Amino acid sequence: MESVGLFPVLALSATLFVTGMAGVLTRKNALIVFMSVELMLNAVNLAFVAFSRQTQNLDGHVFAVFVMAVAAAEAAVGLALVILLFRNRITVSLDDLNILKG
Amino acid sequence: MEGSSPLVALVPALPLLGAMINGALGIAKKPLPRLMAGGLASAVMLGAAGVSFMLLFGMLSGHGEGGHAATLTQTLWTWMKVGPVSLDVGFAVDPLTAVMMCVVTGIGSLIHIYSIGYMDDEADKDSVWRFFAYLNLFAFAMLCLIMGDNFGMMFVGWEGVGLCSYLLIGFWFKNSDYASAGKKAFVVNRVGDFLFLCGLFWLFWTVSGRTDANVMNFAVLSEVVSKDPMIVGGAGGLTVTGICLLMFGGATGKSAQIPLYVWLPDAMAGPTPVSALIHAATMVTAGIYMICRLNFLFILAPAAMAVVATIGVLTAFFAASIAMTQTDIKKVLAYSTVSQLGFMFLGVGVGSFVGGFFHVITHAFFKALMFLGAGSIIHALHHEQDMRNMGGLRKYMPLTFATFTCGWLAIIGFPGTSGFFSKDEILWLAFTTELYKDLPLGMVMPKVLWAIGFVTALMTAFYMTRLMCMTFFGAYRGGHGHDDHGAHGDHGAHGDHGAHGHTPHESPMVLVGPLVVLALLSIVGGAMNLPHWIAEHGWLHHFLSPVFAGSEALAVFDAHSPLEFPLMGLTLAGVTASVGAAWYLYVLHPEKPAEIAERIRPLYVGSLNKWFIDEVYGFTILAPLYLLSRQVLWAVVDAQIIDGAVNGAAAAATTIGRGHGAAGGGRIQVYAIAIAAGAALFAAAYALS
Amino acid sequence: MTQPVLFYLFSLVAALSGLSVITARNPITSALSLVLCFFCLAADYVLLDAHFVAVIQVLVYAGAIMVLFIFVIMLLNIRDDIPSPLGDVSGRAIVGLIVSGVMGIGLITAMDKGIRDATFTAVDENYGTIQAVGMELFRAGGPFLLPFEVISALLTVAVIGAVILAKKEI
Repeated sequence: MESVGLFPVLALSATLFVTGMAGVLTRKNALIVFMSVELMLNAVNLAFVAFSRQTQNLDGHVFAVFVMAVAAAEAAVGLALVILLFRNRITVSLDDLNILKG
Repeated sequence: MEGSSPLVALVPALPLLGAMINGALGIAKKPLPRLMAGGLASAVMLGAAGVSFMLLFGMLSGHGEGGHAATLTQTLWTWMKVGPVSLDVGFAVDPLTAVMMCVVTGIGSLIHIYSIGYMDDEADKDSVWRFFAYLNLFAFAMLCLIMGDNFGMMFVGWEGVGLCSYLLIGFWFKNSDYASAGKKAFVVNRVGDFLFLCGLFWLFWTVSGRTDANVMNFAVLSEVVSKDPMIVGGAGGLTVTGICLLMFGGATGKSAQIPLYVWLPDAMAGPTPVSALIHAATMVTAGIYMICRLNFLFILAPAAMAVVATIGVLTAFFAASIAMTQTDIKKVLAYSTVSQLGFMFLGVGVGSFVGGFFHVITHAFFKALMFLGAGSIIHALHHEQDMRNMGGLRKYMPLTFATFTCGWLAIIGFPGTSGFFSKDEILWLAFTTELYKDLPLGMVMPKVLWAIGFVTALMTAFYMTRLMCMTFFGAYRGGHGHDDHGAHGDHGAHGDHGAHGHTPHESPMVLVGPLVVLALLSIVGGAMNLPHWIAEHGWLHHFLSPVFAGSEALAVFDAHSPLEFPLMGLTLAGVTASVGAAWYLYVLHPEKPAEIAERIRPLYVGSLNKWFIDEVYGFTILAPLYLLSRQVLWAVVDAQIIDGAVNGAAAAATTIGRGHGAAGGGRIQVYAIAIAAGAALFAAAYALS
Repeated sequence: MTQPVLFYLFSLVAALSGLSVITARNPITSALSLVLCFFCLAADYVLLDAHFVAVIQVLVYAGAIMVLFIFVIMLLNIRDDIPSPLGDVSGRAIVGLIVSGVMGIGLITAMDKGIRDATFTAVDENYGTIQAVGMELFRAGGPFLLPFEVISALLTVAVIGAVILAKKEI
């Protein structure tokens, strides 16, 4: 990897992050939005690992592990919410959810 | 030359304390009863008078440089400070201030005591605390005006006395005429105050760039200007003339001169002690006091001085012409006050600051006396003010008559009385002044001024004698039906007390006591400044010389003209003739005045209606102003532009709110977009930086 | 020389499969694309000497989490009935794309300015192993002990919460 350098790795990270962001902002399906969030989290993880490699320490790895744990928790709770939502509204479309309307 | 004294601030502080106690208890709905409220107010005034006289005597016994009294100062704290200019809450007592202070507190005390007796009307029982609180507050403001050592304090006092004047004129504000008289006084004074402020700003603007001294302080400014007149543009320059004229404009408002005198006669709506204290003895002399205080400035502007003298003498003549035919006793005295104020301006205008100021003092004595005497009559007649319903009162009210006569002698200038010395000095100095010799017509002007002043003195003697005759001589004309003058009453709301069925009676001692003191002062008060042909130097002249010496040296008087005694004799002869004529017309042949009035009807009607000045003002100033206010300022500016802006702002807020409401539509991704957009902006900003 | 080739290969696949996640009509397609993406990332982790993270990536993400996703999709049997992800082009979607674009350009430009020439240097062979990461994580007096315990508590809470939410009756 010495010949690749930091920039391509981070460019991939940024690409994935922006892809996930676009999914979050544009898709209506709650499940796909969730998956897009996972994509963004992974993009961040990649950046952590890359920087960790660059600076020759392991803090980034530890953080990546933490992020995965949080992602797991988030996925568990989030999917439970989706199930609950579907059970009550027979939809997972976020456009139908506007009870936050002020 | 300067000393500090902790007693100085006590003089204004005492009346303020009295006003605060009476005011606070009144606002707390636990007002003191009349005797206690009045007693408190009088006590603090007596205290202030005591301290004032102590300071005065201290100055007399202590000798500063060259046998002259030193200036006492006390600075409490710095009010504001900008660069070299510092406005302090500070007081300075120089000879001029000391004398004025004693006049204000001394006469003020007498009038406070008098008020205890005068304000005994049942209907005022619940508001009398207000009266005494205002009266004390007035004294405080007046003392600030005269004792302040800088323009800031003077202006605070200047506005303060205007406020108190407004409050006291409208004391019986339930009568809308009285309330609007108060408003008129306030608004007209505002015009003058505006001019005064403009003059002040101009002065400050001119001087501040050219010196590092604290020019808002009178003593410092005086020193700076005396040392280098170029600092105000040089003697006789346009700048100093303009400044002085603007300041004199302020004085015309406060001291009721042409063209702003119109408020003073209306101000008689206030209780009579107020008329005596504020509208005769003290506040209205503030303009003259201000010019005396700034004598070092005015003396540099002979043109402005000429205007002062001209306006003064014209006002004196004009007001006297109105006073000739008025029938309301207070109105006569009011126009007489305007007229006498004109004399004072004539005095200072010809460069005789001592003379003008001397007349301030003597006038304070005899005019306060006459107002209080009139108050005594009005009180005895249960708020009857029309002289046509008086007459023969000398039998019923001998003490009031005796004291009033003293005032009358003083104002007509009976030899030996205070008014004689002061008025004679002004006329004589007006005749001989050489202040205007560089102006166009400068040689003729003093003679013209003297001539008008001379005629005015004769008119004064005539209308004051007329007042005496109609009030005290002849037969008592009250006591029968009166249906045409109910509204003239000092207290219109009270209507008829049934008083006219009774014979008038002498007022109680609390009213007469102050009259006696003032009567004595009116007679012997002239002793404080005897003319040079009696004493080497008048006491007042000597005492005030640290303040005025520099200025009066510039206004050269031809003091040894052989014409002095002939002119004096002429005046005396004229006055005697006037008195005789008035006596002839109003006592011996009471039917004659109506015949004469018929013969010179246009003049009579004009004088009776005050030359229609109020109507002229109404037509030329008020009507266009109302038209502008209603049609433009209200209908367009207020209703459309301002209201439009306000309503537009409200509508805009509603629209924006609705827009934001749409943004808060509950769609979570819309919120997410907002957050992401913020983050994206940061990223973009970082990328671009 | 194989490392750069492998890296660019996996990166390309990861980016394309990521794109597929957000463009696919069918959620199952999205989920499977995401699994592919995760595998490619795991490969990149290996190339970056992050062996432990790579393993966890496969086990936790590509394994556990994505299985959970697919279970839920199948359980609910939902189909994205939108003809195309951008078929129903709403203003919001356009704004979202613009924002994302600005974000992407901003990030890439910033990186281009900041770390254009940063290179990797060789690491010792122990770097990124389970042992090394474990030592870092559990080092006595190290900074991660408390966060680790808190994470375990978080996971417990999440599991209980998920059960309570998803269960019909408790």
